[in-house]
Amino acid sequence: MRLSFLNFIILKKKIFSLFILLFYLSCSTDDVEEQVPNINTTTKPLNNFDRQGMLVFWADSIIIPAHQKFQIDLINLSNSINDFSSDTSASSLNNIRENWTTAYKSWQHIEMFNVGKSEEINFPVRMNIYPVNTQRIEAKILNSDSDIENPNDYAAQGLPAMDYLLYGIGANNSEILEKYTSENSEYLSYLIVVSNKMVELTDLVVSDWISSYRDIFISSTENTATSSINKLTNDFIYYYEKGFRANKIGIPSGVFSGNTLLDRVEAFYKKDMSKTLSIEAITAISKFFKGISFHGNSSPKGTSLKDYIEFLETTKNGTSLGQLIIDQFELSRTALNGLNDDFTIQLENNKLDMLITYDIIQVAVVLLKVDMLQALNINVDYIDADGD
Amino acid sequence: MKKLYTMTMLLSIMIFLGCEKEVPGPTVEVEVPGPTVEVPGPTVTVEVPVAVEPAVYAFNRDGVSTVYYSGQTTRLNQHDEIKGKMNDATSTKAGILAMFNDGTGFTDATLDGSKKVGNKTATNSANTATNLAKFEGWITEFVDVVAVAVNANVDATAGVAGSVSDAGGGSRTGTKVNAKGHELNQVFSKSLIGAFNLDQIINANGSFGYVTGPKLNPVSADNDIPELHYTSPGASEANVTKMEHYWDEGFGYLYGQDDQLDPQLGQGGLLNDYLSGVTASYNTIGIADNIYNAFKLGRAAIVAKNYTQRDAQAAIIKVELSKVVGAKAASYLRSGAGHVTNNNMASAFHSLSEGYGFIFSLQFTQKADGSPYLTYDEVNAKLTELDAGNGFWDRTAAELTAMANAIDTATGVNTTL
Repeated sequence: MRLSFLNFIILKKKIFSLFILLFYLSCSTDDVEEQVPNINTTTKPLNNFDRQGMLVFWADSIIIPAHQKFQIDLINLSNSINDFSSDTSASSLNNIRENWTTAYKSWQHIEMFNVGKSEEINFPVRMNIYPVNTQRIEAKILNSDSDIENPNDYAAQGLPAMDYLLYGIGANNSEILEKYTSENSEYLSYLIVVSNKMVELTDLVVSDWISSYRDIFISSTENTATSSINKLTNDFIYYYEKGFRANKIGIPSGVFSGNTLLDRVEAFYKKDMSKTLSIEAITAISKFFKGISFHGNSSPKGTSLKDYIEFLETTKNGTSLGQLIIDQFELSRTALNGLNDDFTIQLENNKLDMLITYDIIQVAVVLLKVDMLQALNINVDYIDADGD
Repeated sequence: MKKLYTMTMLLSIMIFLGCEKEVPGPTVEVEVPGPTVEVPGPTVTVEVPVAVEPAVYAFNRDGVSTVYYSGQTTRLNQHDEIKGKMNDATSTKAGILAMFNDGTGFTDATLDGSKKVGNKTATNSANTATNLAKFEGWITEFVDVVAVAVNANVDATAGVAGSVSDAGGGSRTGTKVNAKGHELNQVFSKSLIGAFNLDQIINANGSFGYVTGPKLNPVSADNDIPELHYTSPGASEANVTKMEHYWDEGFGYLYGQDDQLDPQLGQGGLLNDYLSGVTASYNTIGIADNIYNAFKLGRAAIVAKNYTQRDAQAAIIKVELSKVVGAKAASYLRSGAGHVTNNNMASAFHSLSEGYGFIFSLQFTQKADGSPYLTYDEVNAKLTELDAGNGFWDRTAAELTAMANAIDTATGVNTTL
């Protein structure tokens, strides 16, 4: 677009307008090139979208309410453990179990939001690392050791540790109950340690959001590696790829190892909850992407990633990318619904259906991690989880 | 006025140059054209037929497939089980050694038998004995040192073997390491990729690899007749020549856990597994097609009795397959560096242990001139660097990145892409 020297001299009267034209062309803020074979996006500037509105919706309508629900569930869980310690009966144990189930389902709605205090204290890793290291738990119980700050103890605490303590320490309910009814039961002590730590960490995360982080979060509207939208979008995709796809489905099915790994199923000791948790997860994923509030079903609605890529008019092979992603989430949900409540039974009877489900889930990884990030001009900020 | 024009123009150009923003383009798939094969024109009255590359790796004689490689498949599967046992704190030394050296004691009893991995390790390259001893050393160290510490719930620290978990937000927990942070099943397995998997296919400096001249040329006269020596599973009498079968065994070491007619890659834990990623990355995009095509055409050349054409394909296989090892040696150091920066030491040690094994494997690779990317001595110098002080505990991201860059220089693979 360079003007030749001669033109410039001859058209001296149009110098000013040419100057402006040159300035405009060189300083254009177009962010997206349209040289990709099948991805098309408008040339609308990314910043014309209400980025802060999206952050406010995320924080106020999804993230904070979801964390608060989880916080309440943990308090109920803690109270029922308290009741159990003065009445170690089967019905009290049942109450704990129900509250734990409720909390575990609520957890699926917040595992993906690893920013702020959550990131600082390694919240997801302290709440939901599985498989449980039962050897570690038993050693701690044997030694009356209540210190679970060492990273090697991350796999000995949280919701999975409680799964083991409620369902795995005996071959049947009476054996399990026995471990708690003895005088000064170390199992009970450790159960309380695990519960207290979950409450403590969750309180830290929630109060940080409410007291200071929310305002920091919503004002970070720029497009940099450490800005809110970039970090949260990355967290969302990382959770979809690792927390959801790999941890719940891929690893147990042997996709990364060649062997089926039954004991890597989420809630392995309760067994029949693995599907429930996966469905809860895809619900959380879907609602976040579509912009549906935590307490809503299809409304109230706010702006989220789907709206953003629709604003950018991103299409893939002629179809709206947002629609492709939503469709794929629905296909994943349908496939998950067709599986056994207990993924270990599913894997033993018909592993192929799990593998098919995995493949369906996988399709959206590409749509999110490659196509969506490209449209939003966001770089991936995590190292690929090694499947080895 | 002339001055005004000049000034304005200069200013415009300055702004133009200053404001230009480069938006990096997306990754575009590039088709790597296949290598040109030159068949020398006949200067004698006998014409050597030039083979045509078949669509798939399928070869028949009288309607029956002549292709089989069950021994290779068995050994690949044996490796997978041994690798698992090398990370199992309840394994015994005798148990692992029996699997590795004697081909017995597998949990999957179908793997027991006359095939072994140990006697096919490092046999086609120099320094066989000292290299093989390293594998046995890793087995011993895992059982006698690491598993013991892990079972005692020891937390690994610099100079102390035990378990280590990510503390920087990573989710890898309970990684079993020795005092230098080596996750021994990774070191063991990735070292076998070069010393066993690649060596068996391409090298001929000791015993002879399956696509090498010293292996195939001695049976040329046989192949010319053709002398049918082996019997394939679907046949009732001998229907395969030695040369055909040797080449198929080379093929089997790469595709033995995969689909012969339509390789999916990513199978098992050796070359086939890593070829999947490497063929889609760095400046090695498309090498999987080059390799499969070379196997097909080389095998067709054998049937056509065109040994020059066969060797041209063998040369492609050696060079392209070596790139898998070259690429991963550097790339795992880079990912290790990233994990070190994030203080996720379990993830760091996992990646670095893989890198360590791939570096060990570099001595079994080949460039176009037949020499390896790094010699035995150069490999050991790099491993000594990684092991300095408390080994992986002491390595900085800068050191690891520099070493990755040096490996890229030696291999020609650009793992920064």
